Amino acid sequence: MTGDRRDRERRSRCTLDDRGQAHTLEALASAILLLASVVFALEVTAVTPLTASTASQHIEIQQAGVGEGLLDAAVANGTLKPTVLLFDVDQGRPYYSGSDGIYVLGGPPTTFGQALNETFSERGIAFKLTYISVDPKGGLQETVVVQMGTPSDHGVTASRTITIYDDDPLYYPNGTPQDRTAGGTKNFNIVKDAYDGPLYNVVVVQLTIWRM
Amino acid sequence: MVEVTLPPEAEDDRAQMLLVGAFGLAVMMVALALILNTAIYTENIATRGGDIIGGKDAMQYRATVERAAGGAISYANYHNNTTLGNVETTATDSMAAWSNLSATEQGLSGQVTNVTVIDTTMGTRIYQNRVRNFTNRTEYGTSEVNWTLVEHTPALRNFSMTVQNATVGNIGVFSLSEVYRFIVTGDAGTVRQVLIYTEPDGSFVVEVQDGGGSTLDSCTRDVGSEANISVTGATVEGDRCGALAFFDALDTPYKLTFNNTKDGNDDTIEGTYSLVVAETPGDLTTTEDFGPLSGYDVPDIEPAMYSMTVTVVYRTPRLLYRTKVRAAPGEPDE
Repeated sequence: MTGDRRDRERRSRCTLDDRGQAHTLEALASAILLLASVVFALEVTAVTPLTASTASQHIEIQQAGVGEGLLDAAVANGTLKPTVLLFDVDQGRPYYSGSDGIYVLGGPPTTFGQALNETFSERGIAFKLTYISVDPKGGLQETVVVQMGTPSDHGVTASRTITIYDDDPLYYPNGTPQDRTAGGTKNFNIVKDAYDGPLYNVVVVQLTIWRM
Repeated sequence: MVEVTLPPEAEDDRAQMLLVGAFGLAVMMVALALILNTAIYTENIATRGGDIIGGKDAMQYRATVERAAGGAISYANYHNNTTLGNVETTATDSMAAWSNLSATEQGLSGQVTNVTVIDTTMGTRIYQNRVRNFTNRTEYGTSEVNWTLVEHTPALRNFSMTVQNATVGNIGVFSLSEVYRFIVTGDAGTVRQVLIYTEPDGSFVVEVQDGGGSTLDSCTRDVGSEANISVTGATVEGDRCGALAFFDALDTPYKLTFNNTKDGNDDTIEGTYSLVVAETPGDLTTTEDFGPLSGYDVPDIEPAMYSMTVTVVYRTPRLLYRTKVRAAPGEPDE
């Protein structure tokens, strides 16, 4: 009897077998498993695409709001139409634009163009201004007026519609009307006369904004 | 016999607790990552202020149509006003063309739009284009000092005048009851008298009184040689003059009278004015007060469109918006 108890005590303190390597293997496997799961969990969280950064959805919505607000203000102030009707008849293109009629460094030299530059260029936001109108044959004519590069994937667009009549005067850069009218000037080719009657054309002014 | 009981050495065996524990922790960490992702995405979606359905664009388009209709009315009134029929045809054809052009452009971004004219109200434009005193038609040297421009018009809009500051009565010289005023009388007998005069110190005053002569409100401005007053727009020289916003106190039909346009042989005011009323020249009862009269500068009338009502339809895959818009440029705010 005493021999049994001694035996049992001896056995409870240390077990004599060759399972030590299995235990080590088990420890290694569990360590690798734990490490792999920690690394996976850290990599899979969607922090970057959805939280604040220059590429996030919030920035896009904010820029869309700024663009729409700027266009609304221009329509209400009456500064959008003089910008669309800015035209140098002798040169056959808008004042101070490149030989192809496009501005590349900023907005046109009108009050609206100045507002665009102050709102966007000085904050590192590039923009593209397009006039979409109907050409006399019934198709669509897209005239690019300001091209500061190609929009990135995160560009947003805001647009407003204005109406031009045959007797609307063309404008100088400082906003004063010229003696010439839209309907009476043959080489006013940014927007063409799409209707025989008093209506000259309906123009959709489209502003695309993206962060440079 | 086969031993089916556990050998004694196995009593203290932990049965791979470490591995099981590691599995459990790994599963818990992956679950936490999943929950974190869901929370971030939900917060992002919930805080987006965007207009998913596109209702804002529909309202934008409605405002654009209203502006376009106002422009069509103004153009037709100005350029094609030989007869009432001419004005109406020009304006409605213009809106039909506008609808076609705009539909082509809106189709580019996936919207189907349509604008149809459903109703027009014709009227008369009463105007004086050349600087002159505010009496009526002068014939054989006689003209009336107090005269009625329109007896009972259902509505009036775009009433503005440009007066020559030097000719406006000065209350240092005239008494307040002698200066020029125009009077708008509403249906229930409510009266608003608008006096125009200058103070001895040179400032320009527009004062509104009720029928009994008690002052309700007034505006004082410093103006140059000319003063532009927009009665329906309630501005003097471009600045808001709250006193002129009295049309909401009057019921239609309106009666408009010019009083004290002369004091003896002196004019109390000179300038130009223009307004559009909703009575056609055929219905107007005061046509004998207007020109044309060859050899004399006189106030005149011409056919005009008063207002136009259009139906706007704006359709996207997610939204159908249909509404009526009434355009009457320059109508006083109610």
